[in-house]
Formats: sequence, structure tokens, C-alpha cells
Amino acid sequence: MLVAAQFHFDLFKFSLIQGVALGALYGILAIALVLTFRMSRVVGFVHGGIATASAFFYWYLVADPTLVSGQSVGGSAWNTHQWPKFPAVVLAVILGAVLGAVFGSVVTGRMATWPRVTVTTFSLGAMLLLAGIASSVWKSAFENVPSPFSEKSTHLLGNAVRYHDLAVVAIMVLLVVSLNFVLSRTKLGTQIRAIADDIDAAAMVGIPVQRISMGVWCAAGALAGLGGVLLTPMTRLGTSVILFVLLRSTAGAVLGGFDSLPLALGGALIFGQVEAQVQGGTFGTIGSGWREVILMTILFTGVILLARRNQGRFQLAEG
Amino acid sequence: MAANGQTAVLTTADWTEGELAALETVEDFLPDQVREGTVLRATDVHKRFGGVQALRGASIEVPAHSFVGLIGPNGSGKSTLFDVLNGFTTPDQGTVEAFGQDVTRKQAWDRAKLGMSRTFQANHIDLDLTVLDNLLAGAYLNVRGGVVASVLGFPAVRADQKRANEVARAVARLLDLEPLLEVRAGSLNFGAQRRIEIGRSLMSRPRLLLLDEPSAGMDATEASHLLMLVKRLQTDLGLAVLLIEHFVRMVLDNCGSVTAIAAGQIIASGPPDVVAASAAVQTAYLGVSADA
Amino acid sequence: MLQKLMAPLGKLTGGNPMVPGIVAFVALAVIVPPLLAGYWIFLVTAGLLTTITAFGLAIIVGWVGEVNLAGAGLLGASVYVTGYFYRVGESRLNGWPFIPAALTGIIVAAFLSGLVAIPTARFSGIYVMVLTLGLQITLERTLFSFPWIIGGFGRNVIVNRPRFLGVSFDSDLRFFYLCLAAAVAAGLFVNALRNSRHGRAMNLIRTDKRAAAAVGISPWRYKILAFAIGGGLIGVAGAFTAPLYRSPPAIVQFIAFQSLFLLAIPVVAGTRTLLGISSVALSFALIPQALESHHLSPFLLGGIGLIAGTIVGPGGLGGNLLEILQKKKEVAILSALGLDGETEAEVDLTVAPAPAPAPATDVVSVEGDGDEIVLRNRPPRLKA
Repeated sequence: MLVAAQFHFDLFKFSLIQGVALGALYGILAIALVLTFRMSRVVGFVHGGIATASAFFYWYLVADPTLVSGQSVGGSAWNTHQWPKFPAVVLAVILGAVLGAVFGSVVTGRMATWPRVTVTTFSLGAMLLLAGIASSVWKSAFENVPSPFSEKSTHLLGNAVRYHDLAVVAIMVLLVVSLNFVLSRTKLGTQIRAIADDIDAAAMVGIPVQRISMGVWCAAGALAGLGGVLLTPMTRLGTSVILFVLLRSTAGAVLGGFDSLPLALGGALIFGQVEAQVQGGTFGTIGSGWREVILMTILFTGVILLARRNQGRFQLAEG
Repeated sequence: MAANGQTAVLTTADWTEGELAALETVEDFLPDQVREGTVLRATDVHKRFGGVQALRGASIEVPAHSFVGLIGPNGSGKSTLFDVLNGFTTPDQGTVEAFGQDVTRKQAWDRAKLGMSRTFQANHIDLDLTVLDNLLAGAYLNVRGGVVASVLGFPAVRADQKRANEVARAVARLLDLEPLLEVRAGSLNFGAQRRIEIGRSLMSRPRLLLLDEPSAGMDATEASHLLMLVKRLQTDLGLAVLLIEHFVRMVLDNCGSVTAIAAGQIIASGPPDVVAASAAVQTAYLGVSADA
Repeated sequence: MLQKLMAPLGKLTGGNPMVPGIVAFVALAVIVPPLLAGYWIFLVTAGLLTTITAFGLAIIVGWVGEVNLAGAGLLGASVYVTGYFYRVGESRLNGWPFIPAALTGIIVAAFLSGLVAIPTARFSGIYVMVLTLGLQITLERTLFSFPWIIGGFGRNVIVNRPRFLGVSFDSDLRFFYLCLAAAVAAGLFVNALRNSRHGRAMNLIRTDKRAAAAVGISPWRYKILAFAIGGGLIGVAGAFTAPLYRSPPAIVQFIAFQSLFLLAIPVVAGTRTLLGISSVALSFALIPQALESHHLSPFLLGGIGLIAGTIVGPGGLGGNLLEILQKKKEVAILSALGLDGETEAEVDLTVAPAPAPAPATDVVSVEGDGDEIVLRNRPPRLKA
């Protein structure tokens, strides 16, 4: 199958923006993962559940009741009011923030001293629960979800590009800029970074660790919700997709060592780009299976390098 | 400070009959002990962690059938030295020889096969398992059988398991744990849990025991009882024991040879009275020069 | 509070661990089939196979303490591989006898599981989680997307019920008994393994890797072995699932969320009681049916299970029950010795010799500088 590999420049251009948009989307979730990992040393699988819940909620609000095919399964039959897109997005993001805050309060409160693997398993359970609730309450049969940025496209570099994709990239840039500003120029940002470096030392100098950590979980939840809303118009609405995206984002975060936001973003963009290019046929007709293998190899290598760096050279010494 | 530096040796006449039988079982189980020469030798060990030089040219020797103590203030590198001796850390420089072989680059479990066993400062036993199960876990190297043989219960495997059970009972007897064999470790107090850990080490057929602060977390009386127990086992089973201990008094009174370490360097080594009188040791511990 | 709920159960079983197992086996084998209508036998059979999967996950999650997120993927891999070789078809690779086909499926699952363990053997926790999730998604997007192995999307691919040793297990009832036998065999295997030196080694590794290394156990080797054995057990479940529906099942049963769902079983039940795992596995097979009729997603069950499991504690429900049963025995032993586990024993701090329980011989003392360390002829009974 690799024999059919050759480089098609025109396809490359076509997939370029798509790849950037996809990478930006993975990046939004990767930011949420890295932020919460730095706060609580827990892998935020729950963000997958939050993204799913927000995505379903958004769809429920904006879907035209008469067109929804899931109606017969009993889910959205009682939605008679079709909301305008932007308020729906805002509501969905608020839902994400609330869910994030609730989860964060448990993790930073009662579970603050539990082993991290246990709390991560709890995070897995929360994701499963949220996905289950979302798909039970708002039934979906792989709907098409309308984009808040309309379905139209424009032209860029000689190719058609959807407004939605452009918007995702723009949102990402905005996020990165504002995050960078907050983290490096504000007192809150300094406190967050202090907690991320050494939680005990931060507590000792009087930083309200639990309050700030919860705030970060809340913000990360909002981001995850936003990610869910932005994702579903690019694919279809369903629970499986979100886990797949979450893995990509986790992979990006892993490449950034779970510590570095810029590296995590870089990783997410790389994943998005590789995925779009291989899928778009830039490298010839490589089967989609190979794409997975390539991406997984990158992930495996990244994890191994990261673990080696963090745990010393294959030794059992303490610390 | 003991006037003559001599240790009080408790002889086998002090064991009860049942304990003597147990002693014999354990003795038969253990490999032939090394009778002369050096069992363990570390030479010129250097180890750096990031910005911290934990060991600077540390050397230590454990002769056959000896009870050696390693003392030093907090942060002096005792645990790092143990990690190097035991195989959890590879030194940047220097060598470790055990039982006449160079084991510097050997993994900890390979050193265990040679007969080196180690306990830890904190208890690492399964609190949900009974005392017996905890002890049996230590017999890993001495029960034969791959997965298939073990599951199907081949005769050799069964015989080995039976023997391990008997030895575990004997070890428990020697460590005052016999009536508690069916009790879960989590229900026992700290001192008993410490003894379980030492017992598990014995189950691995050691010729050398490295004990990392065995009396950590105990008060002076409990600690002295535990150390007496260890000393009796060492004497009567012919083992070599190296122990890190914070109760300096205990070490000076009972060990045949003492090594003192501070800031990653060995500052004194030899018979207890020599080490105790050493100016360097007194400075390290008391922070003043000893001229009184 | 959990203790109070569990206490009556403890009384029922009378403290003997074998009794509940035998009761359950008899119940399943004899009472259940005549009582249940055809479809329910089918579900219980699926539940038995889920039990085998849960045993495999229990070895990985409970014995070496790693979270494996590829359970459903491994199951699916075995189902499809076994089904491919065993089924009726045109390719010359189809139509193998059942046992070789099953063995192939089992080996594939064991191999993949062991494979993901190799790079992660030296690390643990979160890194392993991420890599197993990677394996799961990779399987979904490679193996599960090849039409030739999953049997296309039509209904014309038939996987017969197995027949070997001259016996055909074609009917639902016969196949149920075959799966019951397989589940019991798997349980006996796991039990034997747990009491063998290998099971003890895996448990010690979970307790503390360094302690394991200090008695000669290589944590890395055993992690890989645990993953391979666990994967193999999952493979066994998959091999028997292939003929369950008489045609290749849909891939939706083996997606990532299903992995989480399966993971909830050993987490909820705890990994120390095989019976606990079996009960929870059976419930997890039967309850979703009830949920579906109320339009509730089975993910709810899995999510609640995982969350409840983490809150209940590392032993799970089974572990808590065992603890209660064992405490009763222990209280008897400890009080007979004059100890109870709760109060701190008093230590005699006076220096003078205390009356020793054994016949007294001379007290040996070491003097020096006014301090006396009094050595008794044997230490007083060290209070446990």
C-alpha cells in the first residue's frame, strides 16, 4: 500500500487549512487537558464527557424539531423552541463550565489526597456517565449539526474553506493570546503557575489553592464544552467521535509533556495536519489503517520519551 | 557509651525448644552462609541527582557473618548508598561487589538471586493479605514452576509450596508472629508489620540482609527489642547484616563494625568505640568540635 | 456504613469462601435453564463470557494495578479473528475447526496485550492508560474497519456454533453449558494462578515494585506476563463470543466506551473475589437490557459503576465483603492472645526486668556510664 505514496501538492494545499482547523480543535481540548493536569495531576478524561454533553445540549437547542431524525426515538420530541445559534453556544459553554466546576470541586476537595490513578479512574467514570446521560436525554442518530458560523465557505489560497473552519482557527488564536496574557501578565496567572510548579509551596505562601484550582477546572470545562460545540459540525453527533478526538488531544498533550502549553498545541497541530493530509490523499492512496499506525507510532514514541524523562532512566530509585 | 565496646551476645541457650526447631528449619532453608572474607564491598561510589551530589567516593565493607551499622545525620546519603548497594540506582562512578562478583550494573532482582535482600524504611507489605500470605510472597525465588506447571499443580511445585509454608511458619515463630499467621497485616500494629517485612526478606534465602532503618517509627524500647531480635537471627543463622539506624546508641552497642557517613562521604569506619570517639563523627552529629 | 449493609451477607455465607461459589455454580447449572426463556439463556451466556473477560481485566487491573483501556478492543480482535478462521466462507482461510480458530484468536489478543505492555512495563499509571487507549482506538480504526475480517455488513456470513469431541453445541442450551464450563475453568485457572508464586509476585509488584525487586521479582517481566495472561483470558471470552450470535457481531460492541464499561466490573467488584466479579459481570450483562427498554444508555451503568468503584475503595465491593468475613475470624484470634487490633498495647517503659512468661534465666545486662540496657533472656512478648 505504501507503494502508492506520492506527493500531490494540490491536495496538500486543499488539506492545509482543514488540517489547521482540525489541529486547532484538538488544541482546544489539549489546552483543557494540560491546564487541569498541571493543577491536579489528573488526566482530564472527564473533558471528553463535558464536550459530549455540551455538544448534545447545543444540538438540542438549535435543532429544528421538524427535521430531527432522532425524534422518533423519543429524545427531542419535547423541544419545540429552536434557539438562535450564538446564545445556544453560550449556554452550551456555560454548561461545560458548570460541569467542570462540579467535577473540579470533588477532585480538589474530597479527593485532593487520593492516589492520582484512582482519581483518573474517577475521571474516566465521570466521562462515561456524562456521555451516558447526554445520549439518554438527548437521543441522536448521527445527526448533522448546524454550525454557529453558518454553512457557507469562502476562498483562500485557491481552495474553498468553510467559515466554520476559519472561525475555529480564529478562536484558537484568540485563546492562545489571552491565555498567554493571563498566565504571564496577571497576578492570577502567576498564582496558577505557582500551584502548577509546587502545590504545597503555593499553599504555604497563602495562595488559595483550592479556589484557584476549581476555577481552572471550571474554565477548562468551558473550553471542553466549546470544543464539543465546535467539533460536531465537522463530524456527526455521536458519543464515539468524542473519545477519538480526546485521544488525539491527549496525544498532543503528551507530546508537550503534559506540562507545556505551547508544545501541547504544537503536538495537536501536528496531529491535525498529519491526519488531514493523509486523509486528503496528499501522500497518495495510503489506507486509513496506515494513517492510524503512523499516528499511533508518534503517540507511542512521545509517551515513551516523556515517561523516560519523568521517571529516570529505567531505574527504580525513589522519587 | 559502653565501657568496653563489647556487644552482649545472646546464645542459642536462650531460645525455647519450639524456637530452636524453627531455627533449624530456617537454617536448613537458607543457603550455606559465607564464613570468611567480605560479603559486600562498595568502592569509591559517586552519585549525582540533578544538582545534588548525593555520594562522593563512599566505600563500605561488610565482612562475613558480621553485624555492621551505618549511621549518619539526615540527608547524608545513607539511603542513596543503600540504593546503590541494592541495585535500585546505578552509580556514576565506583563499583559494588557482592559474594565475590561485580554487581555494579546488575538489577536488584538479580542481586536477590545471589542472596542479597533488603527491607525498607516504610512498610511495604500488603495490608489486605494475611501474615502468612505476606511471608510467602518472599519465597518467589525458591518455589519452582512456570505458569503452566504452577496452575496445573505439578508435584515439584506442590512440594516446593509445602516447604515454603513450613519455612514461613518457622520464620513466623522466630519473629513472634506465629499465632498471627491468619490475621490480616492491616489489623496488626506497626511493630508487627515491620517484623513481617523482615520475615519476608528471610523467605528469599538471603546471605546478606540490608535493613533500612528497621526501627523507624518505633520508640526506644520497641526499637531495642526489634534490634535484639535481628541480632539474634544474625548470630544464629550466620547471616551478614548491614543496617541503617538512627538510634546511634543501639548501633554502637551492638554492631561489630560501624561506618559513619555525612554529606555523601564516609567520615569514619571501624570498631564502634573508634567511630564514637572520632572527631569527625561528633562534629557531624553535634555540630561542635569535640574537645571535652 | 458499607459494613452494616454487608454484615448480613457475611452471616449467610458462614465464612467459608467455597460455599458461595458452589451455591452459585449449582444455581446456574441446574436451576436457571429450565426457568429462563430462550432469550434470557442467551443473555446469561453472554454474561458468563463477560465474566471471563472480567477475570482477564482483573489480573491486569487488580493484580498488577494498571488500568487497561483496551479491553473491548482486545475482545473484539479475538471475536473477529476467531470468527474469520472458523466461519463458513469462500476463502481458504475460512472453515477451520473450532479449536485452532479459537487458539488463534486467543493468541492474537494475548499478543496485542503483551505488546502494549512492553514499552510501558517500566512506567506505570497514566502512561499505560494513554497507550492502552491508543491501542483501542488503533484497533477500532484498523482491524475493525476491514470488511473482510469483520464479515462485511450483510447477513450472509454464518458462524456456526462449535462442534468438537464429536458433540455439537448448537442449541442455545448446550452452548450455555459449554460457556458455563469455560467460565468455571477460567475461574479455577485464575484461582490457581493467584495462589501460585506468579500470582503472589504480581500482587507484590502492585504493593511496591521495589519490595518485589528486593525478593527477586522482576516487575517488568511480570507486568508483561500479566498483560499477556489477562489478554489471553479476554481472548478466550472472544473466541466463545464469535459463535454466540451465529454471525459476526457489530463493531459497536467493541468500541472504546465499551472498554470503560468492562473496566467498571473489576473496579466495582474488587479483584479479590472471583464470585464478586462473576456477579457483577452477570449484572452488567443483564441490566443494560432493562435500561434499553427505558431508553437509557448502558454507559450510565458503566459510569456509575466506575465512580462508585473508586469511591468504595481499592478493594471494591468484594474486597469489603471479604474484609468483614475475615475480621470476624481475626477478632477471635486477637482476643485470645489478649490483644485487640484497635487499642495501642502498653509497653512497659521501666528499666527493671518484668516477669517473663518463660522460665527465667539470668538477666544479662550491659553497663556503661550509668545507662543500663537490660536484655532479658528473651524479649517480652512483643505486643502485636
